[in-house]
Amino acid sequence: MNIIELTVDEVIGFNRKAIEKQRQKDPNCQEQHRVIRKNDLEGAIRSVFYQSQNGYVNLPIEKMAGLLLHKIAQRQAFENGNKRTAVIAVFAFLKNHGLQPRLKVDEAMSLINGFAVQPGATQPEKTEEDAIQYIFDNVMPSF
Amino acid sequence: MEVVKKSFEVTGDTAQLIDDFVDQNPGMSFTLIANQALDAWLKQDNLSLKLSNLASREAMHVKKSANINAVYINKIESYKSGFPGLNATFILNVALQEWLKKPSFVKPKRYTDDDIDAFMEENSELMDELAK
Repeated sequence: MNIIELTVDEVIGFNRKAIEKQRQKDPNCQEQHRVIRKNDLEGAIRSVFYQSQNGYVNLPIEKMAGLLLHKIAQRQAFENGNKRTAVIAVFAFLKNHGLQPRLKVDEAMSLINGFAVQPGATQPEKTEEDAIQYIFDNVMPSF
Repeated sequence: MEVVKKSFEVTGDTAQLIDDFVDQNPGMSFTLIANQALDAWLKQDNLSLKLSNLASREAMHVKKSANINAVYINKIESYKSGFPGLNATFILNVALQEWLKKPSFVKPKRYTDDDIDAFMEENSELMDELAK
């Protein structure tokens, strides 16, 4: 069984869906589906699925999913919906490999909001290691 | 495999076998391997006999079970009265060792647009919070 990589276009599609969904819920929603830093997004995806001579450097699947969550949320490649896009990307990637995330609102919010540097702080509260561990601890088979 | 060892209490030998297996099958994750191994193991015809043999062993001191489908946990729990001392993690280690000798797995299906829509719906509270 091989890795089914997510593509940049797929991730852009997830952002489109997240924004559309929000606009359906709230007719006054001002959010836009717009890629503002495509190079950053490409770099994020490429780094997750980077392969050396020995194969993928970020195995196993859970680690890749954690890195996707962190990098997509943190790089802010979209005008809106970066965190939602990251969560959807994790779901899709895990689903492709027979897995699904178990997302509790409070825990997921604390993790994902922690990726950003808060006012007055020099470092973000949560790192990519936290994201990887979160996925390891909150993943289930989808069959 | 250090993170895996934190999440699942597998023995060092088994962790190494899993590492080797994932190297050869990069699309496999430990969670999937563990659950497929348990699925296969718990479907055995001679399960009671196997459990009886296992229950007589001493090495049943394993701490934690995580990321295991509740169906399998419940099935193991249902055997507990007859074989006290058995627990999911111990069974998991046994099942993994056997499964890794002859692995077989169902190839997962790719996600669809409907899956994404359903996911957003099921996690609408989280999506709304993230949108704030």
